[in-house]
Amino acid sequence: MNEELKKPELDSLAKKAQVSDLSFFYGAKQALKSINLTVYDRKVTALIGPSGCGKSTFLRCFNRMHDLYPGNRYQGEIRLYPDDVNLLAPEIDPIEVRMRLSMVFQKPNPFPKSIFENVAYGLRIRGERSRSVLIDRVEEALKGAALWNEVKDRLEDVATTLSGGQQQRLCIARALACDPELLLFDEPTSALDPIATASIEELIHELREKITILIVTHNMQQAARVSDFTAYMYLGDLVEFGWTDDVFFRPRQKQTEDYITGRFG
Amino acid sequence: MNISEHLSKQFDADLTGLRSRVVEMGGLVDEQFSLAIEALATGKTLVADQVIANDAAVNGLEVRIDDACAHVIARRQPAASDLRMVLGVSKIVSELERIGDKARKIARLTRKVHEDVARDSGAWLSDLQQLAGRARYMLRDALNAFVRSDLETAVSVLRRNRDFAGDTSGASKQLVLRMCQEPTAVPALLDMLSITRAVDRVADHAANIAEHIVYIVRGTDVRHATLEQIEKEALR
Repeated sequence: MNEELKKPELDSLAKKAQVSDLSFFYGAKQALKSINLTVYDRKVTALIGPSGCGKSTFLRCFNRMHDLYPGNRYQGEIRLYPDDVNLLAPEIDPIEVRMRLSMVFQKPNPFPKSIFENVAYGLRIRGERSRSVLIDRVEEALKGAALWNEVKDRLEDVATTLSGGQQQRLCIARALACDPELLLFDEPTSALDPIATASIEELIHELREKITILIVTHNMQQAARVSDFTAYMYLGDLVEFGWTDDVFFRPRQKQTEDYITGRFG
Repeated sequence: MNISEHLSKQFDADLTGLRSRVVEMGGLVDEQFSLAIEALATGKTLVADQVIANDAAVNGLEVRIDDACAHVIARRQPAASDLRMVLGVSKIVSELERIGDKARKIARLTRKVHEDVARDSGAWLSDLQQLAGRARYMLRDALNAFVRSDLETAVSVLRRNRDFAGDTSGASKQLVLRMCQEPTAVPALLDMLSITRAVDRVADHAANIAEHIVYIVRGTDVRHATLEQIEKEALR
């Protein structure tokens, strides 16, 4: 084995979350089947699989988005570390969960407000009133999202005047402003052109120094480029989980091999 | 190995095209080597000239197949077994090209040494023909193993190469011994030594191809592993 490609033992890595026996039901329909998966701290984990495999459903369990619709049901646990709290426990307020995790969606969804107010929004609803604190945090978040240099002179402009790629980075800045422990990306570049996609991927690469990231993507090359770990899902099952290098070069399961080589029917 | 088809038929066609060109190049190289040995044994310089001229076709195939590999990578971004196949093909064609070079080398030396070889008792030539026959079988088996992703056969090529190296080394020692006994024949004996080594290298390249097949099928680079380690990895 090439020494440069040697990976640390999984046991030596810190965990950010542990998913145990997670099943999820849309009414009577079971969408996730007893998933077990470790999310490692300050690593990027990509979720791949064909449409309907449950990868977005899985991602949305983390911030309890399914609670917004009646008839949905969770089984199992998602324990968040370091405090070891089960995000799915009924006594846990979903709003509290969403305070710790941020999500970025497929299509950029800036609020119809100024660039500044978009980023400051989460801080304001958390009760931050100090203008100087807000200014500092907005600047920090926009820098973190690699957008500051492009917008620093037009912070009061309406966010929708930005390009698609800039809007998506604005949404990332909005998420970063709240200092999330876990960043959830649901196909964050599927509506963007290759240049904007490259800038988001570069950003993900930089963010993983500080934040744990879970990303759902249909683009397998993107999963290969940006992630440390890859999970392949099919029909609600987790088929394979491992280091991205291994999954894309020498997958253990034939199902994974068929999917990533484009043989999946 | 995965034998099911891609959703993209064109991708299947690209990969099948790569594999068949390797087989085509393997066949050409095998013929070149066989003709070179025939020229040496019979002294037919026209055959030797043909081998030398045909080497350009071998080199051309190497360049074309490598170019096709680069295009598949650029256009298809292959992963897993497909990626290993493309990388493996590129390595295998390098081995084949070097076998082609050895055939050309033997053909060139044939023109120089044939009279000396003819004067020889014939023992060296008959040993060499026998060794060359074994090297050809190893090459053919390696190519068959490639076509069928057959690790058993690939490992058998590696096993045979270990014995083969001992036998060619014995033949070379005989020549060195003769150099001491027949100082005037040293120039011819040195050329015969070069030919013996070229045959030994052909078997080595066949063995390298077998190692690349293990890489393609298993995803493990066994180039610097022991035979025992390779057997363990390939036949698990």
